[in-house]
Amino acid sequence: MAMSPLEQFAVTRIGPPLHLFGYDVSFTNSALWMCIVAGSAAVLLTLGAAPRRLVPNRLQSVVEMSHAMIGNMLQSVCGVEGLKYFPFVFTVFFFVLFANLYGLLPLGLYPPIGPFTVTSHIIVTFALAIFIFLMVIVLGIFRNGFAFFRIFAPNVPWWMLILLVPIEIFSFFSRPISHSVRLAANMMAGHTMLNVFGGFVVAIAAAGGALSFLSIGPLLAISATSALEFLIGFLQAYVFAILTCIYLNDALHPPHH
Amino acid sequence: MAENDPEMHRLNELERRLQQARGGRKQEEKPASPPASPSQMGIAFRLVTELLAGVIVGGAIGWALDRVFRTSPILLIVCFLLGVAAGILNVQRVARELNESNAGKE
Repeated sequence: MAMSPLEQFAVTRIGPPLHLFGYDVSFTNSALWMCIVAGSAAVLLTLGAAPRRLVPNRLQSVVEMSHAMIGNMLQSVCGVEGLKYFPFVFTVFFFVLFANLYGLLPLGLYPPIGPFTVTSHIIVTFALAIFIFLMVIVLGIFRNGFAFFRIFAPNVPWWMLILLVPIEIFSFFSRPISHSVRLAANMMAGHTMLNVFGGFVVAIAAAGGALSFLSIGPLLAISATSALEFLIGFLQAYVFAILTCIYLNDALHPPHH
Repeated sequence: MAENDPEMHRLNELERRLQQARGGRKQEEKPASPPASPSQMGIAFRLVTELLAGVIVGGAIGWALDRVFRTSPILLIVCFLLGVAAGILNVQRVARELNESNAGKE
């Protein structure tokens, strides 16, 4: 078990190597986990809502509450018009949430499976963020025409615009970076920390002698950190979704400075 | 634009019928509260990523433009400085937003 704490992030190929236009498109453990995350989220939410009981059971009320939560969030940020994009934001939120939570399953104990957190890879979160970014641009130009570009022009004297417009443009282009780095770095930091503590437990216990009972310390730290990671996993999914709403709002209602 | 959108019309219609159906009962809707206020570390992390993102984007765009126009290193320097300014602008926006939500709570 002498593994590097970063080994859990390794992407490995599953099945035969595939190549398409010179790119390696083989099926990987990352792709497998994405399928599991998306599939189980879809099945759970559909099954939960399917019976349409008047008095909901537990699963149905969870589904209903999450509908209400995302709906309220979207409406408070984007207004009623934002509700059109409810399915999109809901999907993004649950994909990120399930990916974060699946990453916390202690699957490292069962070596052939191995834990994997899809959202700890910046390329995954960046793909999500850049898609949202491009969607906001396309939607904004489609709905508002040229007026969309007013988000780059704050309400200042014209000679200030020479300096401020480039700054606003850079600020706009930095959105997908901060949007994706925040999620990936949070996930990666938490999981690395858990593994480092795990390494301490093994190392102290293996050192033996009278002091080996001290390995209970890092073990307790793992328990506490795991609880914190559940909170962070949920909070980061929420932050990802609410930033999606804020960016969508720029496309729907460009600020009239 | 938005007013004659048929879907918006349907939504407004639904809203009106919901109001009617609820009319008999007393309203006990409370506004949804966000799940938990972010921790201090979460706030710090958010500010840092905003600042870094501006700097990284500025530097990357400057570097790429320099490669295209072969003007190294003028555009890199200019765009990097603009990127730093954009990062600070991002941080200021987030801080203002956090201040507003704090003021709302108290």
